[in-house]
Amino acid sequence: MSSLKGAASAPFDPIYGAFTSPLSKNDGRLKIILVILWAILISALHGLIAAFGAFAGSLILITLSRWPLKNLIKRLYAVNFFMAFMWLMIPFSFSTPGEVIARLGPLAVTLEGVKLASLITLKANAIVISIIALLGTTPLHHLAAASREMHIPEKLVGVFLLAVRYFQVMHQEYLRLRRAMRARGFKFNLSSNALRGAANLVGSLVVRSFDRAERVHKAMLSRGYTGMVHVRSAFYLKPIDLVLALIILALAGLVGGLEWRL
Amino acid sequence: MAALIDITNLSFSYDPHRPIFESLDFVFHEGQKLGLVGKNGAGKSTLLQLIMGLIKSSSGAIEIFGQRRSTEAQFREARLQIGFVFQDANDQLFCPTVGDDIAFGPLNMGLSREEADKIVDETLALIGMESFKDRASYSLSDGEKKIVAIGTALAMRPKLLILDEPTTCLDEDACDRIAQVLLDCGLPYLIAAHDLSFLDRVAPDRARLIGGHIIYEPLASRPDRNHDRLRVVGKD
Ligand SMILES: Nc1ncnc2c1ncn2[C@@H]1O[C@H](COP(=O)(O)OP(=O)(O)O)[C@@H](O)[C@H]1O
Ligand SMILES: [Mg+2]
Repeated sequence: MSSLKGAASAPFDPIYGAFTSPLSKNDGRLKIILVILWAILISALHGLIAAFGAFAGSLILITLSRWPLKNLIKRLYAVNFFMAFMWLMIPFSFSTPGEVIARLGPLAVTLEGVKLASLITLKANAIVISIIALLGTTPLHHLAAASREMHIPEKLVGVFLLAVRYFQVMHQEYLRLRRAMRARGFKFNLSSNALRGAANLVGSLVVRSFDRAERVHKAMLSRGYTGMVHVRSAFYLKPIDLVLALIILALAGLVGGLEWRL
Repeated sequence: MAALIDITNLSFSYDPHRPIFESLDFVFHEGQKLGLVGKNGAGKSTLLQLIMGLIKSSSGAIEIFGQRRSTEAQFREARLQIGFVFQDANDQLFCPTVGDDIAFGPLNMGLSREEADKIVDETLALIGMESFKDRASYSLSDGEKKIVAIGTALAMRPKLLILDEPTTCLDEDACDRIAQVLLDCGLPYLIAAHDLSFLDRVAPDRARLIGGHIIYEPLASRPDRNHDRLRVVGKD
């Protein structure tokens, strides 16, 4: 068995999550299990204090992962965009009746409403942050290998692996084609010419990916491919895995304590 | 010398109205280091793929390692003993990491993971890329990808290497490293290329594909190396 040493020496790459993080060395299987447990715990919370604790716990995890702050904010922005819609509804008496604490024109803001909206916001952010911290630091192909070890069917994992590998190539091809179009004065708008151009772009991408698929298949045949994409298993539990598990279990214990005792 | 590849009377076309080869003959001998040259579109890649059985000819005979090859099973048996390096390394490196890619062929040959892992380490040492084992294939530079692609071929412990345009789009450093790997590997090889200065270093024998036929160019009568022009060399 090989270690994961050097696996994350690639530069930060948010698509693949291949970036050097203290958490990238942890076992992929363990991280999947831990993040599931942590998310289940958080979704079961009703108390605002416990939810706040969970949020703080996720912040600790993201700090451990040393995820770039800028990128984190960009990702949270997307989540909280949807939260903003919720804040337009839930705090008001028409959706959450209760003790009125303020009035905005004809609308009454209730204490229960504000609490509920805060609870939902905290829980959603806590879950997303922990997923970024744990799964974002696991390169996708390690996730694939982990899912294989967790007995997900071979074919599915193989397809997933090739998809991961060629998504990047397709994306580069798309960028190249677009650059080539731009170089000849292409600008996207709703004119029939621009729409035709966009259709050609999509068409070329489809044709190219077929060509590519055929060449990759030939390359696989050349090396004796018979239907299975082997990946060297790169997993075994290490002391740092125990440390991570203990940290998360301790955090979960604290959050559980806040929820069920306070 | 025994012939590793012996093609007689081969015909092939993608489009019936435009035949690429009509009764082509080609021989590649044991121990040869042969450069296959010819203009763009002359059919070099097509010929290499026909040899590998990746595309099938309409008529003619292909013998590899002394045996007639026509069915998929026969070609598969031959393929396992030939290291084929594609023009675009992105097509060849389809596994998540460099180590997985190099292990792919040996695992398909039925070796155990431990044996494959051993071959991975040996191959990486051979191509001088020991530290790349767990790197993601997509994150390599073009030159590194190409060298790893050659490694994936070498890992199958082939009797023969076939390379399609191994130096296109690579800088001098990368070309130097590839030349070194080829010279060190100790295998016969067939290289399709139009970079003549590269071929001069690694492949003294030369075959030219022109008008759907092969013309062997003896060392002495070769046209000026720096001018791959229209000059055709017949049998002088
Ligand atoms: N998949 C294909 N379908 C149809 N025509 C092809 C295909 N591949 C190559 N050709 C044509 O076959 C000829 C030989 O191509 P190729 O073997 O790639 O040449 P070379 O490698 O010497 O540049 C070219 O005219 C090319 O357009
Ligand atoms: Mg070619």
